[in-house]
Formats: sequence, structure tokens, C-alpha cells
Amino acid sequence: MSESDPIAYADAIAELDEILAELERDDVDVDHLADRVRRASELVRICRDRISASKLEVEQIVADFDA
Amino acid sequence: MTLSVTELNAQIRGSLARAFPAEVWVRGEVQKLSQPPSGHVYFTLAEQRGGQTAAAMPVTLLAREKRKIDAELAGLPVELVNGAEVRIRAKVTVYVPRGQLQLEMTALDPYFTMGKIAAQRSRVLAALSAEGLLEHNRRLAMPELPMRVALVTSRDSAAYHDFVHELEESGFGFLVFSCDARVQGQDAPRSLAAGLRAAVMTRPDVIVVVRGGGAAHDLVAFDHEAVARLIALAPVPIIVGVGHQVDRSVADEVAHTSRKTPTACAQFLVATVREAVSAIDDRWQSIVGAARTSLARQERSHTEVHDRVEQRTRHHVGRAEQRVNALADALRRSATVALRSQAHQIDVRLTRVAERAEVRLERRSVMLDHRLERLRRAATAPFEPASKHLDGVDARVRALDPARVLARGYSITRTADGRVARKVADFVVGDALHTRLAEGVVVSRVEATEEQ
Repeated sequence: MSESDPIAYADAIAELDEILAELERDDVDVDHLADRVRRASELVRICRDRISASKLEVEQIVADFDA
Repeated sequence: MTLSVTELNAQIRGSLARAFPAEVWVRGEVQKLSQPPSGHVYFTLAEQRGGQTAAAMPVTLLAREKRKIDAELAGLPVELVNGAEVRIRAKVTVYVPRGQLQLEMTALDPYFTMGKIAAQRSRVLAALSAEGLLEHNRRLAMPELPMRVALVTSRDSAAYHDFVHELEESGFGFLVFSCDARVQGQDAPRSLAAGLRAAVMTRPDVIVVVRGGGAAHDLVAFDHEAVARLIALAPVPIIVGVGHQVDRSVADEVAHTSRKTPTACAQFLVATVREAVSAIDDRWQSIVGAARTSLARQERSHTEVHDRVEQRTRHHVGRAEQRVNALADALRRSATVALRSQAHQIDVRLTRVAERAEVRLERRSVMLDHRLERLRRAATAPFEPASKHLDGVDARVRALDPARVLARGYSITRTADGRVARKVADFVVGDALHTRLAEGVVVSRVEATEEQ
């Protein structure tokens, strides 16, 4: 995970699950509902970005065999 | 006598031929293997003791012998490579141009090498097992999203390209740290170990160690204890794909996940990421679904409130209506009752009037009766004395009635000719007497007469 990412993938997934659990309860008020769905879509976007936004990138590491 | 060098070497070769008339079987470790374009193979067969080379002998394998040996080894996991423990058949001879004692190899015993490899693997596995390292890497959780991949292999090899190509095809944004390392040859164990250390330094999600295809069976580096330890103790899961061979290397045993080819390793990663993507999609769908459900629920609850308000209103209106009706009924009922009680009172009065009228009438009637009686009495009174006299006459008349005398026990006796007997003289013995009693007549005969 690069430093610019504010949230780890596993945390994002956990938060998504949390939101889901929240939405499945009976006592969500509509204003809050919109907030939560907005947050969920943001998390999904973050996760998707992490997976597929960039092209495959290869960095070359030269191991120092003689060390 | 002076010999030329050639003669000397030839004589030595002759002596050796006499000393070793047949080929010999020799075992040792292959070192310094070289295969120049001529097709011949040269190496040193060495005996290691305590980490040192205790004895060594150059070996020459001519190209035509090599072809024969290669054919025999086809399909077996044995190859003439540096570090390999081999048992070879060879002729002990001298290479005259250099005066060099050497073995001319003609055969290789693959089963000796296989046994050595197996023994080595067993030894390393036993050592790792004793330290609890066999399952060490496998116990690490595979990250849900293994996007940072440290790839340990020979850069630009077929394995490298197969792996990277497969990741590229997926369209996912993998970040690959290519850690160059030799995977075959004498340097392989050390190079592989260095590559693994470099890989860990990149702080990846996962480390992949792959080796190219081809016919190579050199797994020495992957059976090496130091490499195995690095794999076992790596801080992230390690995926190993070292070839198509039937038997598994020590690296396969200690790695988190083992696949046969570099491509299969890449597919495993892609599948893992794809699963994560689908998990995210599932969650998103669930959240959208839950949000919709929640909204629907809210809407429903609004409707319910509306319905309830309406229901309550109807209920209250209904109740009010009922109450009014009840009051009206009560009013009607009490009016009826009042009327009825009035009527009753009238009835009672009527009855009393009637009763009183009756009593009066009764009284009048009684008084009338009295008057009638008095009238009757007054009317009959003048006839009373005559009536009494008549009554006395009647009594006397009735007292003379013979029937009444007879009833008192008297009887009347008559003669046969019907005269009332009054005197004894009227009768003689034998006369019939007809005696009349109150009830009937007795006929009797006179037996005697007595005058009184």
C-alpha cells in the first residue's frame, strides 16, 4: 500500500461490511443513509483504483549478490 | 634412454590401461562443469569432506557419449549439473597432449543421483520440520489483494516473461518488483538467497519464485537448506513455480503456495485479485440493495403512518358516531320508558277507578238483596200460623200411617180371608196366619191359642 492511500484495503472491506450491517438495521435515518452509501461508493472506488486503475508496472531490483 | 614427452605419456597411459583393464564406477560431486561449442563436456568430479575438496579428478564426456547418456536420462529428473552427486562409469586414462590424468566418462547412474537428491531433500525437510518451519510460511494469510509482487527469477528468462505477461493480460494494476537471481547452476543457491532477501526488502504483499521451463531438472538451489529457510521464514506468503517435474522440491514443500509453472503462479494471483474484485462488487451490490431496502422500509413506514392516521381518524369518527347513536338510543329508550310509566300510572288509576266502582256496585247489590229478603219475609209472614197448624196436622197424619207402625216393629196379622185378626177367637189351630211386616208377608200356621 503506498503512503498516499488513506485506508488499507482490508480496512476498506471491513468498513464496507460495517456500512452494510448498519444499512441492514431498521433504524437508519434517510439523511444518514445517503451519507453511508456515499461513503461506501467512495470505498469501492478506492478498492477498485487500487486493483485496476494503473497498468502493470515493473520495477527492477538488482540484488547485491556479493554482499 | 630418453623418452619424448609423447612416449612418456603413452607409456603411462599403457600402464594405466593395464592397471584398469575395465571401466570403473566412480562417485563424486560435479564441479566446474563446462560445455564448449564442440559438444564435449568437461567437469571435475570431486569428493568433499568437511567443506573442503579432499580429492578431485577431471572428467571428459565426449559429445557422442553425451548424446547416449542424454537419451538414457530422458524423462528422469537427473542432469549433469554443478553440485550434482553422480555415479559415473569411466575409463581411467591420460590425456596425452597435456599429460593429464582423467576419466573418460561413458555412463551415468541416474538412480544414484536421484537417491542423493531424495536423501538431501529428506535431510533438509527433517531439519526444517524439527524447527517447526515446514508450515511456517503456509500459516501466513494470503492478502486479499496481492498487488505488490516481488518476483524472484532470472530477469528476461522465459519464466520471467510468462509470469509478467500473464499479470499484464489480467488488466489489473499489479506492481512487480523484479529481483534478479540465478535459478540454475553453481551460483543458484547463493543468488536465489540474495534475490529472496532483496524481495523481502521491497515490502511486497507476496513473493513469487519461478524458474523457466525447458528440460532442465536442476533443482539443487530449490532443495538447498539456506533457500528453504529463507522461504519458510519470509514475512509474506511465497508462491513457488519451479517447473513441470513430477517430484516436489523442498521449496515447494515450505512455500505458502506451489504451482507447476510461472504462468500458473500468475494465474493464482490474478484469480485471488479477481475474487477480491468480485467481493467488492458483492459488497457494493449488498450496500445498494440494503440502502434500497432501507428506503423502501422508510417509505413503507410513512405509508404506515399515513394509514394509521387514517385508520385512527376513522376509528375516532366511528366511535363518536357510535356514541351519538348510543345517546340517541338511550334517549329514545328513556322516553319510551317514561311514556310507558305514564301509561302504567294511567292504567293503575283506571284499575283503581274500576275497582272502586265495582265495590260500590257490590254494596248496592247487597243492599238490594237485603231489601228483597225483607220484602219476601214481609210477604210470607201472614201465612205463618196456618202453615204451622198444617204442619201439625201433617205430623199426626203421618204418625198414623201403618207403614210407620210396621217400621217400628209392629206387624199386622190377617186371617186367610183377609180380616185383621183382633181376637184369639178368630183362630183355630191349623189356621193360616198372614203376617204383614214392614217389608213383606210371613205365612204361618196356628199351633195353639191362649185367651188372656
